[in-house]
Amino acid sequence: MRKLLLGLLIFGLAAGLVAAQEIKVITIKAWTVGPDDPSITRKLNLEAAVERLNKYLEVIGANVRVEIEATFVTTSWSDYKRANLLALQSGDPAKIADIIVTGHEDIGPYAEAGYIVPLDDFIAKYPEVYEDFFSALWESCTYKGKIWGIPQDTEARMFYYRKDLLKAAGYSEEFIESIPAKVVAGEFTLDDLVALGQKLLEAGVVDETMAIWHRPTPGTDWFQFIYTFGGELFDPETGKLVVDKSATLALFRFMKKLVDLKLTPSAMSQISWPEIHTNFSGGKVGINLTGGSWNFAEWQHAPYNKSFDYLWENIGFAPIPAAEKGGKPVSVSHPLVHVITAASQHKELAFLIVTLASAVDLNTRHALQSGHLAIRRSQLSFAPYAADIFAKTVSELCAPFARFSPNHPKAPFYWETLFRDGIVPVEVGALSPEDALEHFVKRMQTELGDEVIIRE
Amino acid sequence: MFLLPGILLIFLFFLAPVVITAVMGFTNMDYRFQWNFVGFGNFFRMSDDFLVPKILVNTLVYTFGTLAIFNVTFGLILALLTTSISERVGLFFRALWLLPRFTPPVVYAAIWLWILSPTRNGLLNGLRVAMGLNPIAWISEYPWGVIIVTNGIIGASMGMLIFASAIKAIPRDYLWAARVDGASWFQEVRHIVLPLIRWPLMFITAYQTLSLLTSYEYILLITQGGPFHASEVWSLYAYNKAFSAYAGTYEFGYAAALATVLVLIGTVASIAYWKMFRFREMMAPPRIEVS
Repeated sequence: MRKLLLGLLIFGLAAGLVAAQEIKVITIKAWTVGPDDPSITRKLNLEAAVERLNKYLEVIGANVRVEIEATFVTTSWSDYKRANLLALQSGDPAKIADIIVTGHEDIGPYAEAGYIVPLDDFIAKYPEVYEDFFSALWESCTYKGKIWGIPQDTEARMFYYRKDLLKAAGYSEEFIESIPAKVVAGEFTLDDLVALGQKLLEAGVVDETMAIWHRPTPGTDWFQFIYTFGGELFDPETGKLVVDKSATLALFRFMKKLVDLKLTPSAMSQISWPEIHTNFSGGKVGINLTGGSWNFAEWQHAPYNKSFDYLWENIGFAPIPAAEKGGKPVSVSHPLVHVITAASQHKELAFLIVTLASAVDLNTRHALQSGHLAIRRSQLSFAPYAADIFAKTVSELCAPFARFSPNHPKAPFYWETLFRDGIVPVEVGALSPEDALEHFVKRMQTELGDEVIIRE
Repeated sequence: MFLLPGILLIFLFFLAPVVITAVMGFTNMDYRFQWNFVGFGNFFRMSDDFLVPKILVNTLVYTFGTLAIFNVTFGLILALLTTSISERVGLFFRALWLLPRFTPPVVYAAIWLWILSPTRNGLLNGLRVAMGLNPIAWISEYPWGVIIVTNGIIGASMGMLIFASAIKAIPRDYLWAARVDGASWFQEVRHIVLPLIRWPLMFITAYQTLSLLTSYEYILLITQGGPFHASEVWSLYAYNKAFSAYAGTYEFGYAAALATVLVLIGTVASIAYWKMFRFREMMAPPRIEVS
């Protein structure tokens, strides 16, 4: 009997010791995306956040640790979003990440479908972090009066021009350096941009159709031109998309002009991204009409491998110029957001990780490495950010003119159709700008029905 | 009982998807994945969709163009030529023509994008510029040609393999006898080879028609159906409706209706080929037993 009691006592003590040391591990899953390679900090920052959290837990002596399984996709946005949607619709927590990094335009459809949760109550718990965020960014995360995402980063869209080629075409250094200020002041218009391209061609600095290039694909970038030609895309009162016929026609005529003047190839939509980046960063193309701040980081990596100093010396940038003198330039921004899924079993913890990943130092590391912009006010005075001349200049030049794509589930259809059924047929000569407008309006009406308002 | 696993597989992987697609075609399912039935709404919408006639023409040109030029004719020429030379050299060329089929589609497409690039950096345009000619925007100028050639170069190898093995199965005596009678190579092909490989020829025609009707991956990768829908075929249009751009634009219901129409066209084509080519005779047991 005594032996049995002694045995039980020893067993009990041993079990107690094991229990005290046993550490519970919670796994959080995250899906992140580039698709540009330098943006891998979207994944690394979440991992760093978990590392910090575990350090705190260890210091406190808590017997719980967090593990993160994060993926980083570099193929394409549509591949990434398609895979995410197919997993989300299963509703199965085993298949769905707790945290997703995605474009702000997904907030509308994801919220409607019940895939993500509103974050207002979580945000209220950490005012020390979230009151520091730029207020304009919250607009892009808001849908039907609630906040559904935490800004992860933002960027600026702009046009890039080769300073070295403009100099070779005969422009003075003084003029070249004054372009950004003139754009900001509304003195340099889209017509002046065309004139630069013509001069580059006439001077023989670039080959025919190599003066002004643009992205070969649809994207929010094209909305900038609707704005700059005085159009609107969204009616806040009715919550419907807007097609502004006169601004759209002006855009189509502008694209035709670029092709007719042999500044842009008619088959621009068939040139691959790498070829575009190689030719522009290599000094074969004079102007990149639809650039983004992240390009500057991209060109510093393989396969382009240009040094920062080389790029800074030879490439200038400014927001998209106004269409008419005295007008305002524009830079459409496309904030990326962290969302927390409805299927997550650890929403509160997932949100805490996002909060820790939004730390000033981590987010600045991301911004500087991948060519993105600050999301928090205190980043602007954070030494590494303040010392980065590119980030500082982009913030100064473009941020005041930032516009967003509408938070409407069909906004991506809008920019797809604007490009594939408007800009492309005009460029390849399949339709005149007027016919393209008619076709575009008809298609938007047929496909979107009463979700779109057509304005003259 | 022995057939049960086979029947189960057919049901799971062939019949069930068709039934689900057809049922989905009667809903307006979008990114929310809700089964809201809308009757024949999607089919009425198709009849109003002003892109549909253009896409239908593209599909017919692509399917029968690739079939006639590459998958049957070119496959047959390759089979005839590689079986007329020494076995080893023939085998080498057949293996060479299989390479595109073994190449991962994305790599194959990337190679074509380089060949067809509208700038002087493209292979074809580089050659043109070297000859003092201006670059051509191949995909804009010849959208049908591009999708037929890029698919045909892969598709030809299937016909080549089947025809080559059929040709090799022809008893040599017939060919020797013909040669003794003084028949030329063309006469041998015309009067002996072609009649004897009639069944494989008809099978490849029927099989590849159905296969081409539903294939779009190389078109998606090389031209994306553009420019301005010039190379968009029915299956790619259905794919684009289901998955193009981002979540908010996914239209699974309409895409499923489009896919259902394709299933119907495929079924009608199969029945037509079955009757036209008298496949029942091919499937019939032989009248005499050869042991």
